[in-house]
This record gives sequence, C-alpha cells and structure tokens, in this order.
Amino acid sequence: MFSTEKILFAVRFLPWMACLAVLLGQSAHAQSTNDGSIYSSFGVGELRTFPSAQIQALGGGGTGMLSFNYLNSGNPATWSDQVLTRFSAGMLFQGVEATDASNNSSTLTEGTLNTFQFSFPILDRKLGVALAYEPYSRMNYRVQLPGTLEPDPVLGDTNSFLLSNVGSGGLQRVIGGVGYRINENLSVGASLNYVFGILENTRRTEFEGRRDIQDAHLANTTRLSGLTGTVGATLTIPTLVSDNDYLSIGAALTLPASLSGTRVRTLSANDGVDRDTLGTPVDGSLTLPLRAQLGAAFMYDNRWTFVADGLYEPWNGFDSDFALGGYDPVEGTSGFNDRIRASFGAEYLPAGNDMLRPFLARVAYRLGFYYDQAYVTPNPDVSLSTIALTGGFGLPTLIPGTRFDIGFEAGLRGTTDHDLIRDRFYRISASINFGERWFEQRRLR
Amino acid sequence: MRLNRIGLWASSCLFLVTFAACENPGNVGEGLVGGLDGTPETKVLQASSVEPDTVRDVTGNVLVPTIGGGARWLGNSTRVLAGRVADPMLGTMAAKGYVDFAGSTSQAFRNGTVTAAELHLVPNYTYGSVVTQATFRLNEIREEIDMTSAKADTSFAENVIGDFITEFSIKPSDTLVVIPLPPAFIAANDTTFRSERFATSFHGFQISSTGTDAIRGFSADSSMLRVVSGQDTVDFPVTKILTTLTRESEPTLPEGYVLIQDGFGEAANFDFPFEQAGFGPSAINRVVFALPADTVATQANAPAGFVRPLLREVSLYTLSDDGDVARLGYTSLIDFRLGTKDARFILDHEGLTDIVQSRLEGDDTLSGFRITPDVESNTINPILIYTGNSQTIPDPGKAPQATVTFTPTE
Repeated sequence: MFSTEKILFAVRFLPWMACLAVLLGQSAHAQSTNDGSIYSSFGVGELRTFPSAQIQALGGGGTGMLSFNYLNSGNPATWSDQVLTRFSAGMLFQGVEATDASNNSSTLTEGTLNTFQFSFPILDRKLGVALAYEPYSRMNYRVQLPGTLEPDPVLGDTNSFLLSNVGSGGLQRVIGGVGYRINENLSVGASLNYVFGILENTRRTEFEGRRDIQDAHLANTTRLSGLTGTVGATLTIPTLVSDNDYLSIGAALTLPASLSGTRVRTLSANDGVDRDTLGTPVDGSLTLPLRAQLGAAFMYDNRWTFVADGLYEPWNGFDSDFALGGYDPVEGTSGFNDRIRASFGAEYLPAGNDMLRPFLARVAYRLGFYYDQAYVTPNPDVSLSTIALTGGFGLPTLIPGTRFDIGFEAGLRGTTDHDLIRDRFYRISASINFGERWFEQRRLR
Repeated sequence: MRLNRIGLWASSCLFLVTFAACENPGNVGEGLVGGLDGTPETKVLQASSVEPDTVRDVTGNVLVPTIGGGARWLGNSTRVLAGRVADPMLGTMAAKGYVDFAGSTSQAFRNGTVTAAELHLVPNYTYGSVVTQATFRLNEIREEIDMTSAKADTSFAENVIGDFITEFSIKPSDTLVVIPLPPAFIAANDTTFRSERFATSFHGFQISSTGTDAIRGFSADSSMLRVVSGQDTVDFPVTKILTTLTRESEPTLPEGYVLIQDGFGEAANFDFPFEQAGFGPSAINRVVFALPADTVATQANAPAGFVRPLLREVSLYTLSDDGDVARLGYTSLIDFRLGTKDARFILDHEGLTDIVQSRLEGDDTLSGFRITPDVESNTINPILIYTGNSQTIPDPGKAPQATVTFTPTE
C-alpha cells in the first residue's frame, strides 16, 4: 500500500538529514586525527569507498549485494529492498607504516567518523529511500623533517626547526535517492550525489618551544563542490543451485562530476583563522571521471554469501584548472591512470535466519580481498597498486534489526623501488546499524 | 536498551582514541612532497641610516589619590633632578628641580603657630663629581605649575620663580639632606602652612645650582617638608615634581657615534633596507635588532672622581610617514662589562616580525625606527651607539644590525 504519511515524512525530513550529514561530516573531519598515506598528496587524495560495514568487510565491492540489514550506498537499486527504517554510523581507525628504499619508516594514524546512513522503505521491499554521507577521498599525509639554522651571528644561539608537509581534508559525498523494485527479478535506482570538500596542502616551518620565533604555515586551500548522479540496477535470479539461494547481479554508473571551486593561498603563524591571503583567490573547476561498477552476489541457504566486484574509473582523461599533486595544467603533465578495482568476499552466518541460536552462531563472519590500481602514480613507469585483506564480524544486539559491526583491513600499497614509498596499512572500523520499524499503523482486531 | 547503545558508542570512541595516540611521523616520502622546501634562512642587514634625533622627555609627575584611600604617581619617574655639571664630553648641563607638597589636615597643627620648617631631601642619583660637595639654591615658586606629564624643556615666565630662600650643600656621601628654612620665610608663610587651602596657596620650591660639580637626583617618595606647629610636627609629602634641563654648551662627541641621553631626549632614528635585501616572497619568522654600544667611549674623558652613569635601558618605537610614533617595547643593555666594547642593545620584539612582513608586502607607511632612553627613571645618563657610517666608522663590525629569519614561500 502506498503511504502518504511516508512521502510527507520524506519530503520534510530528508532536507534536514542532508544538512545534518553535511555538518556532521565537516565536524568529523575537523576533529579527526589526520595522518595517512603519502600518496594522498596526489590528485584529489586517496579514494575511499564505504558502501556499508558488511560490504567493506567483504572487500568493499558489493554492487550486486542485497540486504535487509544494511544499506548498500554503492548501488541505489538495492535500496528497493528495505523493511526497516535504518540509521547507521561508523568510525574508522587507520594506521600506516610508510617505508622507503633505505628502510626508513614512519608511522601515521588516522581516526575519523566516516559514514552516516539513513534509509527507510516507502513500500516494503518495493520502494525505498536513502540518504548517506560518506568519504570520497581523503588527503591526510604528513612528512616531517627536522633541521637546524646556522648559529645566529648576532645572538649566537642555535635554533632548530621542524619542516612539515601536511595534507588535510578531502572530498565527501552526500547521496540521496530511491530504489524501486520493478518485479521479482529487477530493481532500479537513482541517486543525486553532492560532492564537496576542502583540499589543503600546508607547508609548515615550526620552531618548537620558541615563542619568540614565529612559525610559518603556507597553505594552499581548494574548496570544491559539484553534483553528479548515480543510476543502478540489480538483476536477481532465484533458485540457481537450490531452492534456497539466489544470484544477484548489480551494475551502477556514476556520472562524471564537474566540481567548481576556489583556491586560496594563505600565510599564517598557525592553522587558525588569522591568515593572510597571498595573491588573489583563483576560481576554477575540475572534473571527476565517471565510475562504473559491476558486481555479483550469491547467497546460499541464508548462511553463505559470496560477492565479486569490479570498478573502473577513467582518470586518464582527468581535467582540472587547478594544479594538483601529479597534475599540472600549465605544464600539461599528468601522472594519472585509469583506476581499476577488483574485490571478492564471503560471509558466513551460522544461524542463518534462526534468531534463537546462541550468540556466536548469530555472528556474521566475513572475509574479503581487493586489488586497487591507483589513479595516480608519482612515477609514470610504475603503476601504483594496493592489495588488501579484509574481514570482520557482524555482531547481533539485543535490539532486533540492529547490528554492531567490526571490520578489519590490512594491506600493502606502493613499492620502495623507483624512490617510492611502500605503505603497510591496517584499518579497524566500528559501525552501529540501527533498524527499527517506523510508521506502523495500529489496527483493531 | 538505551544504555546498551550508549555503551557501544562509548567503547568504540575509547577504542579509536586509544589507537590514535600511536604516531611517529618522519621524513619518509619527503621527496614526493617538496623535500626541503620551506627551510628557513637567516640574513643579517646593516642599518641603512642612523641619525640623531631629539624627543621631549617627560620629567613631570604628580601624586593622585586612589579609590582605596592611598595615592599613586601618575607617571613613571619619582625622581627629581637638580644641579649643574660641566662634562668634558657632553658639555655643561643644568637641571632645575621643582617640588610641591600636600598640606596637613591636623586641627592641632592648624591651631598652632609654625615655629620650624625643614626641607628633607633624600639623594639617590649623582652625575658628576663624587668627591666635591655641590651647592644648591632654594627658591620659592610663586604660581601654580602644572607638572602633570610636563616635559624637561618646560620654561616659565620670570615672575613664576620667586625669592631666593636659602642655599645648601650636599656632600657625595650624604644620604639625607636637611635644609632648615629661614625664620623669615617661615613667619611669612605661617598662615599658608596651616591653611586648609595649602595645596592651592603654596606652590613649592625650585632647586637649582650655580656650581658645576654635579647634578643630583632626589627621591620624591622619601623627601618631604617637615613643619612644626605648636606641639604638632607634620611631614608634608611631595605630591608634584618636575625637572627642567638645559644644555648650556654642546657635546663634543667622537666621530661615528650617535648619543642617546636620558632627560635631554637625545635619540636615534634608524632603518634597515628590508625591501632591497632580496628576501623574495617570504614569511618572516623573526627579526632582531642589535645596536652595539661603546661603553668605553661613553665614559671617556671623565676627570678623576667624575661619574657618568651609563644609560642601560632604551625604548624602541616605530616611525610612520604621517608622523605617528608607536612604542614597541624596551630593552636593557646586555653583555655589559665595564671597560669592554661588548655592550649592545638587543631588540627582539615580536611586533618587529609583523612590521617587516608588512613592509615586504608593500606597506610603506612605516618609515623607520627610533630608540630613545626608556621613561622608567629620570636621569641624564648617556650611551654612545655606533652609527656604522662609512665615512667615520670607528669599528665596521659594530654597525647596527638586523638579523632576519625568514622562510621563502615560493
């Protein structure tokens, strides 16, 4: 039955949720510990995906993944299959150990609130709405180099300093859209994606412990925003092997996004608001390439789920008015390649749909793998890639429809050859995924 | 159920915060993000000009009541100078001191007859001979003088200074000088001393000297006018002071120096060629001025038993094209060792960093800098600063210098 109440709720509530998501997103980035891979200094930063806590533990693909328990933000077609109103939020901790050819290493950490999702069905298992905030990219590198000034010829004192090249910020996405199940086999969906964010590269010269010497923070701050859209479809083929299985094939296409913005160069003694603007702010735009995703998910016996996915982004034709790490529009140089990502994963839920089994049997056990050929490379002769193992647990809670998810990820990025850096990273995520039935109409019996 | 949710979030946050503390950033990857760009550098600039200038020193001060029932001096100096000295290098200088007092509120004192009055002076400064005694003259002041923030070059109409009262001498070793006022002066001022309107009807004394032995300073806080009326002895506190200074002959300075002298307002204007120094686009991290002072030359040509105290504190000001002068701070003479040439004023004020940054960014409103004697104490102490003038330079290494630490931004 079509519910007018739900439509009115959506119209009134979604704009507020969008604002909340944007505010929380900015707040989360402002409060986060902000150090990660040196490769996030290139382009618009290190690209991130977080379709759901479940999918992230299965390798991060899941384009064809249908679930009543999780919102899959990667493919709006999957939003049709909703029963409960859901809110989920997640935090991520990342540790990166960067090593160079001389075996020097540095350890960097990042802790951030990284995703918010809200969704509800308008028509159960037929028409669903979702709103999500998630990172698109993160720029969070930090390189520090200590030094000492020549002895002061007048005062005779020797001053030490610390040079830091620091990147912060990144692009975020607020996604809002609908998914609709056309028939038992086919669902379609579409979303509008608002991409926005700040990319800031700061070069700090700091004289630690010397209040009489003014630090110098030179920052290039680029504010960007723009709209794009995603369309998706899922094809569900039931009873493929047995009566209690199905195969779901999903595809999603995110259109190129033209982001416009302004770049400001500032000088300050710290990272506060008291900054001197150097020169004139520069307006410009850049275009993020399309994203094509294709994936399959096979669910067997309500206990086993297998997913396999591929993603493609043609960064080779990237265009920007702004110079970015690895890209200079004036010189006409670009170190960008097409991005290819492949992932696989499996989930085992011993209890299946039996809610009366012991706790450990109701835990979902997940394992995955992915390969990601990065869109940037500091050296044109070297293709920069990431391989990682993922895993996690989906823990049941006392609240029906609500799960607490813990995810793990460990991987390698880059190489120490060709004067490059190899990142050994690990990530731990924690997400809470509330599901409750709203808008129930009371009936007299 | 609610507690379960809160517990989940709290434990998750604790988990992330705990792990986020383990960080050890290093230089791995420096070649990918600019390497040593941002390394600060240091340049030492020689002053492009050092010129003598004169400012008007404030030597007047008044004691004002406070809300709590006490009193405080409005200005900085609580010393009054008087005397005359013939300095072989700085010429003959004369100081005239003016002191005024508050009266008594004692009814017993007002009902009696003044039988004695003494001026008590507590010396706390000597410039000149410390072996001969100096003679001073005391004159009455006939009219009210506004001493609030009055300058050292203040002059008065002839009729302001009244009759000669008495003459007295001060030996170099004196720590208290008691000057009995003549009976005729006491009798003439008996009703004035006892008047409720003493503050407006009595205008104080002028202290001067005709000799050339020394200029002495007296503590305003410790000096007083002691008056005896009947059985009552009352100390009238000093409430107003002023020192006027006159240079009766010009100084004979060695070449290559500029004189900074307290009281007479001898100052120096100077500047550095920041705009021509080739900093390029830069962030200024620190600016330090060093002004070497020649303590040997400052104390040269002094006769035996002659004290010429060194000026040890100076204030730094900025000068603007429209005539505005703004104080940045002050500094003391450092590395001072009597008999050496190692003394210098180090001016390391954070405001200098912003000023030089502004000038490099095209701000041409500031035209230079000035050092003056600091206003904290009332003296006539001198110091000789090297000018660095190439024609007369006595020691090229001692020219005023600016050490600029900067970080190129391109």
